[in-house]
Amino acid sequence: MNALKNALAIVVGVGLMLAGSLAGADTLQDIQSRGTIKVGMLVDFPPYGLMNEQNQPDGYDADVAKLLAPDLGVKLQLVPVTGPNRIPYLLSGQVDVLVASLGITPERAKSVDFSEPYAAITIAVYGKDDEKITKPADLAGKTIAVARASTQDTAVTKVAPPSATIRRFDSDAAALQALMSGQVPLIGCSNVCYLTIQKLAPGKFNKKFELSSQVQGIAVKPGEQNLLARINQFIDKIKANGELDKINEKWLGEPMPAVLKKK
Amino acid sequence: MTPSVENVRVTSRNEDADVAVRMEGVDKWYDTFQALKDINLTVASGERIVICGPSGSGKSTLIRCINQLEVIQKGRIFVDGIELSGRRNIAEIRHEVGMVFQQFNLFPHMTVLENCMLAPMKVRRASRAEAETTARRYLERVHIPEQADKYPAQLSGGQQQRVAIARALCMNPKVMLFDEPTSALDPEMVKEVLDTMIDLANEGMTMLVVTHEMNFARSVANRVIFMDRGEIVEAAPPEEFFNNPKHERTRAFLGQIS
Amino acid sequence: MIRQFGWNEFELLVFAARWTIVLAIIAFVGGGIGGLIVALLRTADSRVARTAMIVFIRVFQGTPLLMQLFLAYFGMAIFGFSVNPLIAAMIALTAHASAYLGEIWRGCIQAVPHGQTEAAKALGLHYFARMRHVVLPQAARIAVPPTVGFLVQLLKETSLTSIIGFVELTRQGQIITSVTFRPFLVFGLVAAIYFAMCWPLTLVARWMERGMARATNR
Ligand SMILES: Nc1ncnc2c1ncn2[C@@H]1O[C@H](COP(=O)(O)OP(=O)(O)OP(=O)(O)O)[C@@H](O)[C@H]1O
Ligand SMILES: [Mg+2]
Repeated sequence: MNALKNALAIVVGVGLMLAGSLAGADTLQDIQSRGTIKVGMLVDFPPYGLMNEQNQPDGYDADVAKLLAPDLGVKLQLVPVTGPNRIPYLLSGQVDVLVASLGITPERAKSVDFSEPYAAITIAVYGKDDEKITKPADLAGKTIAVARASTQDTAVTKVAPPSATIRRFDSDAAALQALMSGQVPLIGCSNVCYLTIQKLAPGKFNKKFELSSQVQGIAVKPGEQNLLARINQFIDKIKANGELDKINEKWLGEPMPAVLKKK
Repeated sequence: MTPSVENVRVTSRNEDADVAVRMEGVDKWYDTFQALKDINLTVASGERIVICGPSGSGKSTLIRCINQLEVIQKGRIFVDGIELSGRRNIAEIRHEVGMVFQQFNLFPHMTVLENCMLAPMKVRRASRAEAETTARRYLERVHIPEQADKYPAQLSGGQQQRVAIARALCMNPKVMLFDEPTSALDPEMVKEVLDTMIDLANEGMTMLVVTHEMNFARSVANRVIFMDRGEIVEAAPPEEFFNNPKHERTRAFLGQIS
Repeated sequence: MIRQFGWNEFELLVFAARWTIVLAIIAFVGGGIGGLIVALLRTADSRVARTAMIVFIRVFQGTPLLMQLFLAYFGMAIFGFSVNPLIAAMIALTAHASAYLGEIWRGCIQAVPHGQTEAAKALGLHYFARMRHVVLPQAARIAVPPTVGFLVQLLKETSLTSIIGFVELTRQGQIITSVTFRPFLVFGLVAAIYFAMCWPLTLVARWMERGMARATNR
């Protein structure tokens, strides 16, 4: 009987200790005492996350993570995650942070805490080098290609003056094809799509002006104030010292987009 | 203190020195249906009993209770002086009681020889060689030694039933139960099985046989039992039973089958 | 960014298929042992055992394998048990396969005529000898086709383990497609590799069936 009571007391005690350690957990301290940070990232979302020829995680997110770890003075462990499981990985503590192209949205902000933006998918108007266009009004009388019913379609339609002609194609690929073949001088598309353009026709097309952007943040478990503050400090640093610019140049072929600069 | 089971068993063993099976006030229900009503039956060692009666009267149920294929709700059953007491001595009882079914129930994935060797090896822990010698001896006795290496499906019905008898005998039982052993056979095969059973009777085996073969009953049985609606209506030596039945229901039954 | 699909990528697919095989073997072995236990308890005399198995089968057949994997990995982690993904996969795949195989085999056991069990009982064979020598060999024969059918399905279902981080064949295909932009080529190859893994299973099944048929139907 007594043995049973003792066993019960131990179980309850351990349970409380566990609960306490969960509530009061400080992931930053855990990371530092462990000497390793576990970073979840996508590997099927190039150029942000991918597997390189050596079958190692690589890309924009990997490079950011590779700066983050030494900044915290710890080793880096990259954990490949997928779109559907990345938030469970974070919340269940299998990873410490997500540098996983997670767009900052109000819904997601309910389950995770976001850092300042460290990356963005921007939608912009791109076109032939010789087109002198810097703002929406300059589109007057011009023809511009977009993928029908896409974010870029909505954005271009909203700002284009009435005299502009918007050619809508079934996909980004089709719009891109029209641009390449010279049917249209301008295109509204994402920076990722612009990468393909540069690959196919290096130096012939450039960015005219940005339309909108979806910024991405590093995510931590809700309530990890210390870790989040430390990460924001890191992001400020790499924005200021040009390292984030380099990463943008390397993977997206252009400097850090404007949305990341303004605070 | 209540007397221990051991004491009861010893006493009954002494009293029943030459009793093979005894049933005392046995009741059996299937849910709410009473299949056996107050069955009292004593079978002496070496006695041959034939049980007959209309379909559904409880003949199968009665003999299946003796080796615990059915569990009884009331009364007591002794086999070779040992009382059946639920799961505890179920194995012990089954060693002593062989059973032959209407549908043969040979194991189709084993040869005739393997069918006969399985139980002696697994239950009696006989060596393979011992089991095989025993099996061949009994296959000889039922006159099919040459079929030993065949599979049951390759044999005729009569041959299969004789294998089933041999298989049961290999366990060296004290009592043999037969549940309509010839009912599933073509008429030309009935005789070979009955002859085998007659041989067995002549060797002094205690037998309880459910059958409609009245000639067999007349020539082999020491006693014929008539059952109806779960009760033993009449039990008498064959002469008396067939020539001078006491009970109205027996007369009606005999009138129907002859 | 766009990478050519070359020998390197093909090798990556083949290496990833090793995970598919490891996971399938875990599921087959775990499910085989678990399924036999489930099938035996499900056909046991004890009502408690039967009911417990019915509940087990209902739960694991009635919920998606994806959720079982998810809960085994993330669910346990939330309660402070940091499980290795391989252990989580082992638990979930075994439970899932046990439920299905248990139910398949229960049907096969019950398809063996009751007279077989009665004859074995009448000969004094106890439960395990009865099962081992009389009932299961007969059940096994009819069990081969549905069992292999399930195993083939299970092998393909191991792709669901990507939810807990395994990069097996399907997942590797997705990752390679994302950099090579050659979905038809990559998934065509993935399908071919799956086929190459499932085909031998069906061959073994046919061979076993024929062997057993020879033993009983002469
Ligand atoms: N497992 C069972 N569950 C419910 N009722 C049963 C069961 N087995 C037998 N009975 C019933 O018990 C009664 C006796 O059955 P039993 O098989 O002993 O009859 P029988 O005299 O052998 O008949 P038959 O000549 O047709 O073989 C029948 O009414 C039968 O319907
Ligand atoms: Mg009957």
